Amino acid sequence: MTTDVAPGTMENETSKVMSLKHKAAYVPPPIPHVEMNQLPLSLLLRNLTVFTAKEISQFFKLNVHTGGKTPFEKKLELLNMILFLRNQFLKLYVLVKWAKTLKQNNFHSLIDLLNWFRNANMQVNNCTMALKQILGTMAGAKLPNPDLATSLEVLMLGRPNLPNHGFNLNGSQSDNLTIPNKLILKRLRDLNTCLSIKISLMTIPSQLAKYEIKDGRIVFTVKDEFELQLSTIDQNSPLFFVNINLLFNERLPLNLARLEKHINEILFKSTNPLCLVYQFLHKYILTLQMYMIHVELNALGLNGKYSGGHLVHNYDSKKQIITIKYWLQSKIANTCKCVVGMDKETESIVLEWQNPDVNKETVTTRYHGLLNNIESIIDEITFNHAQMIRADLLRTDTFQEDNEDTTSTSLLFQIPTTCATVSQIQLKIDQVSGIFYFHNPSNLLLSYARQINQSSNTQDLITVLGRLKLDKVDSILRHMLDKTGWICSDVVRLKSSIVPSTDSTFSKDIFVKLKDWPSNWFLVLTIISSTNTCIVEKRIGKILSVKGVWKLKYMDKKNVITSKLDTMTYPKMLTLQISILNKIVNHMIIDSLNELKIKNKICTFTTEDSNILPPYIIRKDGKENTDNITVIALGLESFLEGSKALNTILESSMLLKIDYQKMDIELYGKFKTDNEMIRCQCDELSIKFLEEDSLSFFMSENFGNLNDIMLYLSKFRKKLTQLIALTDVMDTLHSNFQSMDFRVVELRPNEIRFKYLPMKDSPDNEDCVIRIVTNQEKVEKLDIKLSEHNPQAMIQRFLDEKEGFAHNFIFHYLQFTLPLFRASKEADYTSSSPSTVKMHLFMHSLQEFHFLYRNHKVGGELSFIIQLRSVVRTRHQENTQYFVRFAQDYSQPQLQQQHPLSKAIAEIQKNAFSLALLKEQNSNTTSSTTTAGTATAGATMISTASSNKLLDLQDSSPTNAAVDWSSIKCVRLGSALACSHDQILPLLLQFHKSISDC
Amino acid sequence: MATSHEDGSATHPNYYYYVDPSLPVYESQQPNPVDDLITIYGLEEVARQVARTNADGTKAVKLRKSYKNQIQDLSGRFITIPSRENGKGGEISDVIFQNNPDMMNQAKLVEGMSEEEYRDAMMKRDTGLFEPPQMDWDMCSTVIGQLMKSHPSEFKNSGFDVDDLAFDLNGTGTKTKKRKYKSNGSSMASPNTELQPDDMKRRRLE
Repeated sequence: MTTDVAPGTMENETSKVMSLKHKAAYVPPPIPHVEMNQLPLSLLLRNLTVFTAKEISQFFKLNVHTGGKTPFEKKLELLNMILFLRNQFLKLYVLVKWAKTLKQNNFHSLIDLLNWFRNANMQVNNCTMALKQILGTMAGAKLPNPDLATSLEVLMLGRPNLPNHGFNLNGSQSDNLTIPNKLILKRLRDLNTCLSIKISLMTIPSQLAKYEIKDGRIVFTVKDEFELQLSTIDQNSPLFFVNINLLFNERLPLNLARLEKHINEILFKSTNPLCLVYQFLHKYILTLQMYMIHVELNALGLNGKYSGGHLVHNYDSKKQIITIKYWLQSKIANTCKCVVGMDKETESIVLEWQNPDVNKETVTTRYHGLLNNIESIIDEITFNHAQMIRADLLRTDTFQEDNEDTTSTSLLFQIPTTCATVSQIQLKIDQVSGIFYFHNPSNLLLSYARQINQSSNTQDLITVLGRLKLDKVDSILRHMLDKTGWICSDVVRLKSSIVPSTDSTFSKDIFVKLKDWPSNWFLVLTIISSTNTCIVEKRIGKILSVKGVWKLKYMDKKNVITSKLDTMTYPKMLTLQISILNKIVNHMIIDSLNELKIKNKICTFTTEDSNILPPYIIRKDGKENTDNITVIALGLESFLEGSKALNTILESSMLLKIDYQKMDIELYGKFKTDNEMIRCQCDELSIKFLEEDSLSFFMSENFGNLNDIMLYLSKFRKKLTQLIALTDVMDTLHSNFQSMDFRVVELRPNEIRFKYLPMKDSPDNEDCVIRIVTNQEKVEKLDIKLSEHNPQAMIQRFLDEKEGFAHNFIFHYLQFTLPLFRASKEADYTSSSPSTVKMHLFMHSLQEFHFLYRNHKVGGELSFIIQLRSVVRTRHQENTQYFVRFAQDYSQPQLQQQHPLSKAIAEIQKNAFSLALLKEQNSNTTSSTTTAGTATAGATMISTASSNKLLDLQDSSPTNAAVDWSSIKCVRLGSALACSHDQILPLLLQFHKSISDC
Repeated sequence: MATSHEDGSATHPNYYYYVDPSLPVYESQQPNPVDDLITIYGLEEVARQVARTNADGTKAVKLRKSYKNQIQDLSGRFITIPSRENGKGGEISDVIFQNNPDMMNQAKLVEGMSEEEYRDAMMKRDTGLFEPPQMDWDMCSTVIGQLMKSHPSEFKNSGFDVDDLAFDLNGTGTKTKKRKYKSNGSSMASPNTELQPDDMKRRRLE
């Protein structure tokens, strides 16, 4: 305080005292009583009383006559009325009591006062409104440099209330006392001395040790905190507060009055005032600083570098703690937190970076001197944090350090740009937001930057980058494939990748095909990418959409071509187009074979396997390029769908050879044994037998469309089935017709035409036609048709009557009964002159024939019954023999003699049937018939198995037909005879002879 | 300030500002709203009592809404206090706030009437209401006679509650309490005066 101010204050104080005195005498003007909407209490009472009296009299007047109301209703009405009136009086009673209380307590004055205030308020409002209106109307009026405060003073006082500093404006002598300067100076010096003595007697805390006494006051200076000025008036008085300056921020507005009050209180009361004052001020300043940090952070977070929600803080004024959170959008940095608080040891404000991952030995986590420095501290923390994350990522070996980057804030990541080249991509952390970003990003990188920032730990981030790399490789490969004419299918998506992704590798499948490929077949490129390498695996697979879900139907697991990404080139892609087709078809065939459940195996041309392949395939391949040839071994049994019986005819495995260059498909098979079929070439089957290996054959087709390959397979199968059926039938025929007359006229896949009759007996082209009726899989039946002029044609009827004869039986039967049918013709040949005897053969059944001889000359006829019976020779051997007897019993002599052909009967009876001749014949037996078997049951077996005789029979000609009874080998049974089939023809001829001789 | 102005007007020439000193000068409003009017008018005590908050900032005891305690000194036995909320209070304002002189008997100050006569006339202006022909007491007794004797149970289910009459039929009532209040000698008294400090204050005020 300066001396020249002192008179002013004194003057002020005196005026205050004066006004107080003035007030004591002042009687306040009466407050106007509120009268609006108010009625005197007496009037209220009177109103209610009048109303009540009128109500009551009204009631009685209305109810004096009974009217329609019952007494109860009237009573109720009366009671309700009384109740209502009584209640109103109750209210008035209470009102009177309240009014009394209010009056006693002067409460009405309070109401009046409130009303008065309201009025005053309203007036002020009106004034404001009027002023506003004036302002509006005076828009054009302007006052240069208006001093409204002074203007108001002039308006109110008639003059400005300027400080006169003790001078009298009109120049007259002032009555005011002036203190001489000398006195003031002396007083100040005295004060200095006084203070020096006083301070030396006081305990001074170490923080306040630095002080200076001047101008009648002590000035304590605490560095970076405050400058406190204290003074006193004399030796006995305590110290008083004079002024305080904050040293860290001088512009800060201070509530000096409150501080003064508080400090003076401490100085006055305390026994150790300076200590307490220091403590108080220190705390005060710390609190202030805390608040200033809060303000600074506010500015930083809202408008400064970290604006945009990257930095938030929470200022807890009670606990004196500020919690700062930075990098709010960053997920990978899990704890981004700093806490500003008091350090108890040093009693100063400290900032602690609370990150558990930080290495506290190398990185500072505690910061002092925050004021005006908070931005750079947060910068340092974010930088350190970014470095930590970067170090973490570098440790994963996915990244390289950027040597050109001097600030070492970026990471390099390698991404292939083509198959062979790799480019470095810079990944950086934004220090303000903690978000990763790519340097010069492409669209792909941008989308992945988003994913990278979503990842919450290093591993996730690496995974995202792995996916990024995979995506990139995928797009590179797709581009290459597109350019080389492959078609990448975007539609096909497998539920799970063929090679599942692991922690360190990522895989993705690309399904490609060429235009002319069979549908559903794809080349599957599987990209397997890890941090450092990238491999592409090529497989062939068939993928079908089943009910909207793509399913892998076939996958070549053995022949996986694995190549590194950097080996993939455009030329290779083009070559692949050519070389891959065979494989596709192979797999397609194998898949189809598998689907048909045909056993199959791909044969390779490697040397160790070559001995498995038959030489005829090897030989051909010696000249040809084996690359275009595929050989697949097929299981015969499964190929022909399980007809095991056929295995006896053909070798169990077949070879399918596909030549892609010639577009040929060939099926090779081999017979187990030599058979008749091999010699009868059937052109229509187009089965060719190999020259080198007579048992091997092959079928060949030229394919136009790869999709139809399976058609050829079924064609082959049909042919093969026919071939086998044919072979089977042919074998049977050959074994049954073991004669020179047998000859196959025509051989077609389902028809065999052949001759078996001696040339002179068969006028037709063929004697018999066998049609092989097949269904899809096997031979259903054989249709045997005898030709029109075949003497045995009458058998046809019986064959047709009853189906299901084994063809073996039929052939045998035909061959066996042939002599019977030939007998009449043979008889014509033997007799030179036109015969008088006609022979007729009737067939009763397959077992029984009726032979009739008619002699025109004599006019008699003789018939025989010929039966086919099987004779058991030994236990395991049966033999079919002819049994011949007369149709009529001629055993009675008279019957015999009456018959015109009695002579023939007698002769036949005697020579053919009679047992009496047996003895004589036995003795006459020639040496050639030595093999007479032991007689069983009175029957003598005569071997007829003489090849000479057989030849004789077949070569029998009319010229040397000198047959007589003795040459016929048969078993005589008295009235019948049994003979084998080669004896029947001579026998019948002998009968003919006998009959014609009559 | 007024004093200094007077000094100024004496010392400065009139032309000094564009303000005519002869005109009536501004005088602050009386009473001055800037002053503590409550104190000036001696209303501190009553203001303190009805204040919504106590001196320490806590919420003060609410003012009563029910007038139950105010009518305890009456002879009735009020079980339910008629109020607007329970529908038994009825509307009074239109009865008591009518201010229509034509409907009321007026006493006129006729010339030559002494002040005493006028006051007498004023007092007796409404007596006519209770006398025939306005009120025929004979007719009243006739009608009452028609009503016959009643029993409380009679009014069951008729929408009328006998208790609302507040007749102290069995004589117990609240007489003991009533005496107690009377002994206090205060119409402001409430049954639990001693227990509530808020009410204590009020009573002391008187």
